[in-house]
Amino acid sequence: MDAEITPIDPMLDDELAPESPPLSATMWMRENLFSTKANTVLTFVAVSIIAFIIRNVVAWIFAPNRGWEAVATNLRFYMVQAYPAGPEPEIPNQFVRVWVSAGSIVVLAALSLAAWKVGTKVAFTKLFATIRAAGAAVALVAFLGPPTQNLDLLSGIDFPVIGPLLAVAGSLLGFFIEAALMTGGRLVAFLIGAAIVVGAHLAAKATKPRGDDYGFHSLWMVFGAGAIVIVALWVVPFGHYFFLRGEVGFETGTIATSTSGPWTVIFLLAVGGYFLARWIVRLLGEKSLRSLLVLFWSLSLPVIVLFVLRDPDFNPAKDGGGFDFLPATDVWIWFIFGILGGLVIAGLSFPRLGELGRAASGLLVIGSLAMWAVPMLMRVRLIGFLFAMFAVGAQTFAGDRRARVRYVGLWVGLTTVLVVLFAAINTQSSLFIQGKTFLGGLTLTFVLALTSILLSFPIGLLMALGRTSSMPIFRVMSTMYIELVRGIPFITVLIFFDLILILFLPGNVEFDSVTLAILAGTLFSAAYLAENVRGGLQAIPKGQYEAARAMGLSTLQLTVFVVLPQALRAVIPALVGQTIAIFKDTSLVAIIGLFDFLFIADKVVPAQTIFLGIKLENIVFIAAVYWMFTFSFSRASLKLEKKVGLGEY
Amino acid sequence: MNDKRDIIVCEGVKKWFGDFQALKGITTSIKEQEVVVVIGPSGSGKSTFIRTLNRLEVHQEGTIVIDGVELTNDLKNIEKIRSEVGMVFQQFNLFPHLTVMQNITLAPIWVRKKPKAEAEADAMKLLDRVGIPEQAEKFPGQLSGGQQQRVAIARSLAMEPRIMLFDEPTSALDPEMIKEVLDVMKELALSGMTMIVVTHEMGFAKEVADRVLFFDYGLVVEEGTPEHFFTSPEHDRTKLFLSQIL
Repeated sequence: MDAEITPIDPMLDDELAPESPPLSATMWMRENLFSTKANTVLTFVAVSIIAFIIRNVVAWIFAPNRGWEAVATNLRFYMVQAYPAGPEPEIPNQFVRVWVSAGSIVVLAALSLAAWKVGTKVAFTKLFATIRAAGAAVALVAFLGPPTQNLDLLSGIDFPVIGPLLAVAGSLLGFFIEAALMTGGRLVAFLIGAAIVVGAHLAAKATKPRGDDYGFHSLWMVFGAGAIVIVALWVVPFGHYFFLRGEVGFETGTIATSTSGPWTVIFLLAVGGYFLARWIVRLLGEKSLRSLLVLFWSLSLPVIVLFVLRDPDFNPAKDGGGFDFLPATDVWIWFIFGILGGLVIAGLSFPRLGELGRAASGLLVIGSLAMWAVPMLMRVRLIGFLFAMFAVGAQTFAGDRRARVRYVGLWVGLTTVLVVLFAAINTQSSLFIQGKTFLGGLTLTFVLALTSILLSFPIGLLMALGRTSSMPIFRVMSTMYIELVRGIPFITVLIFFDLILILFLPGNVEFDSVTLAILAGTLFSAAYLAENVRGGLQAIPKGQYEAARAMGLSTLQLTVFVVLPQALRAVIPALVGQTIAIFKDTSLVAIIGLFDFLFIADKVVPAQTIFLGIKLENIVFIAAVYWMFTFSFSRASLKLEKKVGLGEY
Repeated sequence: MNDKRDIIVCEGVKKWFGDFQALKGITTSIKEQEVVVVIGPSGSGKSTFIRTLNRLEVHQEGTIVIDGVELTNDLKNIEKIRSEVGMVFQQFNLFPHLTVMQNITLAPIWVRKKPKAEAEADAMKLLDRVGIPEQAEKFPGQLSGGQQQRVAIARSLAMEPRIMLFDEPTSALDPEMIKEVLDVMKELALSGMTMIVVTHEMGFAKEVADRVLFFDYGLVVEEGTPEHFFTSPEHDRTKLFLSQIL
């Protein structure tokens, strides 16, 4: 149709835009900081405020009587709470479980970096410019650092009116005079900062002529930083604090080998794994490795929590003990539902079955609901219900042969994982821990946040669909739930689950506090997620529904293939915001007696005899850790948005 | 044309939006392989009419029978009719998150249960037919309006419909691109597809239509062959409309 027209190159006649000359530093300052009189005044006021804040913060951090050793001594406690690692002879050291968990996550991350080809080229000039800015920041902080002596000039003068003014001017003057008179640590820090600035500046100048192409892969920066940390662990005499029978001990020299050793092994495994994965990708392509890693990631949370870091109080089958019940029950459950059920689903997914298949799956749903009336194991009922749901979906998602095989494979995989997890909960743990729960500190915070987010996602999605549904019963139920939960503070929900839920449950059902907190977090955040997703659903034009309907797609197909992919892309920022909110809200579980990250900083460490009352340092420390993670989340979400949201519009 | 049987039969179709009556009793029938062009001022009910034919709008009175199946609330009938009636919209309504190829193969794979490879081969043939085989892996947002509408036509054809509905397919296009879409529609008409086209393109109506329906106030005011309609209209309302647009 348009073949016979010779295309005109639209770029042919365009001239290059004139390059704007780079601004010099003084020009930039004149344009941005001192352009008008008011601007100049504002600049001075703002700079004074910033200088005042930095000086006080630095002074506070480096004050000689700060109790940072409370944080340093309790680092392990912060990460995993009272996991048995101590030298106490009566409790076997089980800390290797923690190392295995941390190590597998780090190595998985390294493999994923290779499989998804993360990282870009970084130009040397850019790197040096960043280092130069960092050096300047060090020098500035040192310059504004805590005063070694108080130079309060002119304060003794007692004139009316002009006296106080002179006093203010005098203390400001003193501030700068004193700041310039650096001694000791401040002087050293300032000189180091200045040296970094000069060195990086020279290096940047030297590399500039070679342009932005002269650079290296950004992951080298990650590996380099990791290597520096590892070497520092072995070489730099940080000194190390430890508990010995309730007393805090201190040893000079490098930190204990029991910490630096495992980290070194993990680092070497991660780097080795990365290059191995790169090699595999070059050899076999990234597709199979990616699907394998997705499988590992999705299994990692339950496997680590249920197998590696196992709670002794998790097992209802305690008195039976051992693994005797496995061949009698769990293996059979797996065979009947996974294998035989898989065959049934494969049969139901034949497109030719049509209405007959729908009728059969309807019967299965009724059957699965009837199972709740008959006394049997709860896990059989749950798997039975899931089975009926899969059978209902079989007709909808039966496309060509490959889609059917994938669908049946998903079911068999899901039953396998579920049966193994159920079995894990019911077998005895070999781990011995004093106290009520085995999770604490940052680990608990992460387990709570991740599980709540992952579980609340499908629930929130269903609720959002329910609220926009045309069926009144779903709409009313979802709306009521969402409005109810959104009107209640999270603490109230937590207390409800901890104290009141138990009254509604049958007598023999007991929930661990961690499970209760996860339940509360899940149901709470599902309501907010539902509202976020609803926003995305409403942003989809009516025409999309009409086009899909006109093509004959069923409501379920239309939702899965057309509506949800678009709705979720539109609400990525809101979903990440929700994730961050949940991550921070987990700090409220202290209310129901869990030792989360915040609770340890707020109540536990300040109550240790030796660190009595040292609280602020701990709070500042955990604030920095929380901020580091949430900031990374929001950075990652920006990248995600760019990748899936904008590229194609 | 007289030997063909009726594929769409409408009897007194009425439709209200709240208190406003959009269709006031449409009675007409359309034969197999017939090309019917529906024209009329905006708000005359012409779009509403063709949207009732695949039940995107629900008529409240009267009967619509398509290929011997009556349109009722019975879900099975609606599914059957929708897979036989293709529709092309004014705003294209392509799925922006799927490539051109995925847009076209979505329904054949999941509704017709075609194997993926076969569906993709068929989609390539359709893209050839509408003249843009090289755009298969692009996203709709990367195409021009005319190309998007041609993809939308290919997407409807992928379901192998027996009837095609066009709801002002060129109204959202730049003048330059109208021709490429009309060319595809002409080719489709020549190949023997039953088509109902709501449009303001009088040239297309004159050249391709077997019959023209003129809608106003929710009624068919006048109908006839294009020659009759454009040269010797009977109704005063038709004359006024034609005098304003020609």
